Amino acid sequence: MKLIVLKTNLVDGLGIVERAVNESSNLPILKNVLIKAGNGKITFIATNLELAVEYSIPGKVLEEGGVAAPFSLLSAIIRNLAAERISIEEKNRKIVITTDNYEATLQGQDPKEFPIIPSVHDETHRLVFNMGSFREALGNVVVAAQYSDIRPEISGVYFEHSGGETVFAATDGFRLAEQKLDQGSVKTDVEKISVILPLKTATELLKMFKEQHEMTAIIESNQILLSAPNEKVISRLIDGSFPDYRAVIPKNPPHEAVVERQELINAVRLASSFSGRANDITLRAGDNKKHLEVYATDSALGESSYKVPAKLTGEKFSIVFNWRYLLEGLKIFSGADITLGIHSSERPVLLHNQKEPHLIYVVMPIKG
Amino acid sequence: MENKELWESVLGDIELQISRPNFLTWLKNSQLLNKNEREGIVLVGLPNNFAKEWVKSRYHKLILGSLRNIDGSIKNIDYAVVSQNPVHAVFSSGKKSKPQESAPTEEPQPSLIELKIDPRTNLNPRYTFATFVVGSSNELAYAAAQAVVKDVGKKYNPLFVYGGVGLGKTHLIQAIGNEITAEYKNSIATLYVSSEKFINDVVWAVRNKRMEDVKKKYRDIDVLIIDDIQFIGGKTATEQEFFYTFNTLYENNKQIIISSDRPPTAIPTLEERLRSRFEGGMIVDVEYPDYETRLAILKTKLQEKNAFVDDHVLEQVAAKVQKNVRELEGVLTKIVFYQQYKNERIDIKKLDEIIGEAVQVTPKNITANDIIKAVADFFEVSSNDLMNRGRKQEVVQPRQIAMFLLRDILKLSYPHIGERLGKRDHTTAIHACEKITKECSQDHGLSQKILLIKERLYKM
Repeated sequence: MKLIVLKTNLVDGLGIVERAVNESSNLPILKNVLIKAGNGKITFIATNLELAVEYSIPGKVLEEGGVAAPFSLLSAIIRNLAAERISIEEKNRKIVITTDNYEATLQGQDPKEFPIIPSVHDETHRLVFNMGSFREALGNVVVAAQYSDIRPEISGVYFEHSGGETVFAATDGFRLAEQKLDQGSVKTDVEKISVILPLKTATELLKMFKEQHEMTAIIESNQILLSAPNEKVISRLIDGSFPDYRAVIPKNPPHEAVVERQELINAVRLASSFSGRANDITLRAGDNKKHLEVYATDSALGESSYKVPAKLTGEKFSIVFNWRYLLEGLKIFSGADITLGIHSSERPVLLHNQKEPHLIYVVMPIKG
Repeated sequence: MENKELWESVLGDIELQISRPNFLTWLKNSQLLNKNEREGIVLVGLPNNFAKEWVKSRYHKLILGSLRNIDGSIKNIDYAVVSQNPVHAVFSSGKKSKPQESAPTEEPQPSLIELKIDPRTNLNPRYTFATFVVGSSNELAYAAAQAVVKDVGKKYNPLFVYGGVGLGKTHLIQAIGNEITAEYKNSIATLYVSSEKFINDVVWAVRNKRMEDVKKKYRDIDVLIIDDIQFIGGKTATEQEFFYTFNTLYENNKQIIISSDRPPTAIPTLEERLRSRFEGGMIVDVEYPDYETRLAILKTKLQEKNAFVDDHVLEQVAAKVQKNVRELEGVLTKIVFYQQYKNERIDIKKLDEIIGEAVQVTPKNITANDIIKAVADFFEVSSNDLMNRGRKQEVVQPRQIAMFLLRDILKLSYPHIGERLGKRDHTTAIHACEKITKECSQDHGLSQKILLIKERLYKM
């Protein structure tokens, strides 16, 4: 194998597959990245046996072939080289990296030792996503997911396509985010399908496919293949059924507060410094319907109160939140205003915004 | 050879031929799922697609050779992915599993999805009429419960449900609450409390001088459901507060639903005025389910669990676990566990083992004297009366019950029992035991009494 590649392309490629390299595996080959050169393309492949990433970069292939290279060493060398063009040559598992004034030799491994990346055989469940909408939806809901050993079925992002409607949702039991995709952003013949993407796969996906307009997903019973030209991810799916989260979304909350989102974010941040061990802050609406008070107190620190101008409907209320959960929810929206829909201090609170009708965030108050 | 043993010996063989990391990564969580004897094909389950691809292409010959060494009839191997989540365990064992930041447990953060219990009514939505299995043993109670839902506060007020441990009292009274909430939405305020919670509230109120709060909480509702009322017996302040609450609610035609493990007359420390009030309403009991009901319960539970168990195993369970629905459920859960996670077939021997584990009542070193005393206390006669030769009407049956229990619980010999209770012949003891056994099956009152005596014994 013999290649000449631009440094920036190499850095890009290694940066993408890095997320699938498993440096702590007890199978040493998994610490390697597989480099394949053929058909005028250079492809990097890495896997942690849960997720495999393939990424192709442009470059000049002088001689086809393949080798498994130790990832961290290769990556360290490439990143620190100043040269623009780098030549990589492999003979008998010895990899030689050269620039005008630098030469390094490292021990590679037989590409046959590298795990075989599973392929998909059944293409009946095929969906084509508009990349922008996919990334936006995934990025918005993933904040609500959290890894849990006890409940693997919620340690991921739920995806459902049924009756022409496409939904992403995630929850960790304390809050929940859901986003529907626009009709036009998914093209498929599939009637109904739902899967749970592992959290790790979801976060990795957000860092990939950055330059793509479209991405194709093919779903099989226990794995999913996501591909675009030059980029490919194959991941296992979580086996289990996602809880019926729709049941906890509050319907027609009687009390509503409309506030400026950025100001509420600031208020929550300010109050958070005074919150106690439970991260608790209180949102209060009094008889005066002009503002929402964000209040926090700690016997050791003192107290803080911030009055955010608000449009309030319904009666007065006082409701305690974990400020992190509230803040993370506020941040996924992009409109100028945010509406809090409240039933009572013990029931889930709905965050939404008229300008973003497809996105909702539900957060459970802390019991007062 | 069993599939499991066959596979273990194959793995033992292969472990020697490939490197340890390879073995751990690719084959450790494998299993032999199925063996088709006729065509000589075995189905091997692997934890993920990577393992499937790898084993298929790299170790196929090795495994086939090893299998054929043991069983020459095997011609080929198929591979399948068996979803499980031990994938993590395989390749993260090298590092400390990263302590993921998770919600601190000490914070009082209720969860969205696990928020099963409605904070206003305190009811657990799991308990509904739909999941309540009705049989001859609880027909009356069920009908009364239905009537209460239709006619809240008017027809049967209070409704007093009693019965032994694990027979569905809580399920029934919570189902009433849930049904009322579903039917009348928010127009009727329902509150379910255990008597322990009620006691705690009263204690708190007394200590903090906030009695008004407690009064308001319990008197501003339309349906009050109290579980295990027998525990408030003897707690004077609580009983008094409960009495006033009861009266207030009752006079305003608010529905009161009470459960207990025994009828009002049998709660020894309950104040007379409360007892008479309980007796003024509808008293229904929940008895032991009969065989058919038990089988129906098992099938309902199985459906809830979405699992499959052979009918004849269910029949065995229904026949063997007789006294307690909760134990019935426990045994079922175990069977499902064995089948799903250990892939074991449940035969009669295994079943007996499971039932033995689940239903083990540990009779805490009960002595003959304990039994005699418990019986004497229950019937309010003296122990001496039981042990004398007297044949007064009021001691005859208690003595027979004592004999029955000595035999039933302690397995004492008949001559010894006879000797102990009035120096009687062993035939008297045999007669007594047979008589009680026979009458128990016909006279429900008697079996109830015996149950209560046993409960007291085990609580002592």
